[in-house]
Amino acid sequence: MFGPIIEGARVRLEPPRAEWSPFYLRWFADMDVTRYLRERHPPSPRREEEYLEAAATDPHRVLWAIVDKASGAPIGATVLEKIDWRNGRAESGIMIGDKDRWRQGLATEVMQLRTEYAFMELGLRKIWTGVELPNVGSRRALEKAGYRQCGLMRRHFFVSGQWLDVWIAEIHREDWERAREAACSAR
Amino acid sequence: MLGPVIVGERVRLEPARPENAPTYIRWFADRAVTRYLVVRYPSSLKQQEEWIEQMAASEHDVLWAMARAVDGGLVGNLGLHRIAWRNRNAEIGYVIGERDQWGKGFATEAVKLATAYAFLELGLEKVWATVTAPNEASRRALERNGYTQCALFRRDRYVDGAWHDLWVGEILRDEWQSGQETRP
Repeated sequence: MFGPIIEGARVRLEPPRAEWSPFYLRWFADMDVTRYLRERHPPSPRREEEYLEAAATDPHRVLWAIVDKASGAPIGATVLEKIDWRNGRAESGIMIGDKDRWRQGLATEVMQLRTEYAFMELGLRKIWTGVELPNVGSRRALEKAGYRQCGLMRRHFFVSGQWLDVWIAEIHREDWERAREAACSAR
Repeated sequence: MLGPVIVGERVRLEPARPENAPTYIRWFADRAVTRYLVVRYPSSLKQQEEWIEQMAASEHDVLWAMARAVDGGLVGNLGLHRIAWRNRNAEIGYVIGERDQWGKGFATEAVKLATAYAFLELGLEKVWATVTAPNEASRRALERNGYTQCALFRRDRYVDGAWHDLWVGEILRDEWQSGQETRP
């Protein structure tokens, strides 16, 4: 499935568009961008097209493009995948491909929008993800968005000549609702 | 798999693109270019594009286009092939398709970048290559990067009316590692 449009303050989640594939080909060719991603190779244009089609028909995945609200340009992508409908959980993933937009808090906003959708629209009860330990940017964004560590897998990925640990984190619906109520009553 | 962008001083490795296919056909129609290669004839445009797609889809290959760093001009291609994940080795192969770009050290630097990638990013333990014996330029590109002969298959390739030996070279991870420390 493609995700529907969700408006944030600075970013907008949108269904991915085939004409944005040149952005994705460029980002996936950039080892700085893919350093902590599971996919570290650029697709051919045909494979990118097939990936989008497969995502569009996959009932266990919701894929969005991340768009900069000011310019309307795509800056990355985010996904809820391996959706387990019976057990009400999914794995989340994100890429900010536009390196000029790193360290601006955009990932945190994307995660908040994505989490709200997962709980309020999909009716899931838990989202989880794994982050290579040196990927501090992604980990901070997840913590700010309410994810909490639930595990640490040692020497799990080989990146740039080193074995890296993976920080495993999750966000539960009850915790998310409690934090939201606290934020509302504080206001 | 297609390789990610790796920028060197003279050469830039980048993912091969289907639109490079006509250039590859021109190279492979040139017998001087293919003299010491395994494939010695051009394919159809469709087959060439299909080959790039096969490489993109393969879990056992990484294919790059080789471009001049200065202006992005396509000079050749390079691949890590037959990636054996269980045994952690791969074969490196390359061609400088533009004859007027021979002898400028492009292959040497491309081999250096791809070999580092094989050890640091793919986590391989060995990279190996085969070179038809008279192809000294190609062998030197490997030797300059620390590859050493491990076999010589005699009278293995028939080219231009004569039999040639096949030089086989390889480099192990620890050899590469110690080369990184001693070489500037």
